Amino acid sequence: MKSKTLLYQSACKECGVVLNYNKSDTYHHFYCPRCGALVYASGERFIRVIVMALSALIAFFPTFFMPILTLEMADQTVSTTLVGVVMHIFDEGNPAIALMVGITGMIIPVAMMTLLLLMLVPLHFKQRPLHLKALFQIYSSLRRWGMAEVYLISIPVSIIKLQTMGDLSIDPGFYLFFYFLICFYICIVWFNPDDLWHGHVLSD
Amino acid sequence: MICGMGMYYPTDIESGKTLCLECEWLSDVHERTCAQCGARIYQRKPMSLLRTWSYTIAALLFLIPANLLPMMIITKLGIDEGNTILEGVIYFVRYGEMSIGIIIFIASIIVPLFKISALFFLLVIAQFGIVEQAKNGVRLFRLIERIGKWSLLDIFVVAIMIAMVQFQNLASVKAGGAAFAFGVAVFLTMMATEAFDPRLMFDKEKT
Ligand SMILES: [Zn+2]
Ligand SMILES: [Zn+2]
Repeated sequence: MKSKTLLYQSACKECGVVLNYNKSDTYHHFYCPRCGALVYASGERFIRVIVMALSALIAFFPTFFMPILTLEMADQTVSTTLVGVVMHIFDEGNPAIALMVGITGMIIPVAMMTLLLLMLVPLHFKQRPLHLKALFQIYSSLRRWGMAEVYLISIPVSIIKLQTMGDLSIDPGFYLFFYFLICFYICIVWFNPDDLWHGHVLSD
Repeated sequence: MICGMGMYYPTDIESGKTLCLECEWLSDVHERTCAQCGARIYQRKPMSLLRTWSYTIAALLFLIPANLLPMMIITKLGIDEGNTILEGVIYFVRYGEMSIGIIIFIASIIVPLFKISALFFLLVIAQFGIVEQAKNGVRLFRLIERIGKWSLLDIFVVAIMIAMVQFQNLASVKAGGAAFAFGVAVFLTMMATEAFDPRLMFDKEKT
């Protein structure tokens, strides 16, 4: 192992300077000496990312049927699920807003977790995943557009607004979505795309 | 190029290399696709400045109706009540929810305006090659990249309000014209950030 080239050449995404860094040191973060950009973040082992992605997905699917909030007002009750929010705005004649909320708040985060599993599960079993390059390109283009955390924070803000209108209760769907989001976040932080190509996580 | 402390760092252009922005693989400048991940590669994002200028100006234009039109229309006992973004903020402050009022104010008013001004600043640095400002510029770029999506917070709130408040004659909520305009404005600022290539700010530097 020691005889292999340990210097790895890349360039800074933010200022264009060519960088040489030690490829065998995968446990530290590297910053660009010229502009200070983060150029390498060490990743966790795939199995941990897989477990997190799975628990995110398992927590997410019940939120299709489980209400997040229930509002009561003069003997009438309305409760809604995450998907219900989107469906209702769609019916209201605001398809653009419905798509925006549905795609960025739910579809993209779920798609990212699914893509991670498709890439990492085979790699964990030392197999080459099918269409790894295509999967990775979809994953990296989705990265910037996922807004599950914004959706999550919008719930407590709405709660405060809704409390002035009637009796409000927070339902299990909200807590599940919260759990999904934490797992989702941990996944994104733990997964280092470099590990897909260099395979050093595989070897330990 | 020469940095402080007399260190010399060659850039990708000087060494004839192209970086893959998806997987950080360094290819020779004549390559068109990345050998590692298969993505299309360019030494600098194509038409970066032109696209960033267009998205930023368009975003600024969409912010005008976004702030003037009502974000949502609340109907209570048959009476319509429109709420612009600013009125929404005032609503929270008046009901004693200072912190939520401040969050919405920052997310919906300060962040988009700050983002657009920052983009203009970055564009000027890159367009006119003001290299001394490149380091400040790249810090600003990192910041707006991170905070951009939070301006959509109010759209999500409106969405939940619409879904929750549907009590026929008693009370209902509808999206106002600002919701669409604001959503488009925020997306345009995100597209602008995406189109901007921060390396252009450093490139004019002479060796
Ligand atoms: Zn740099
Ligand atoms: Zn690549």
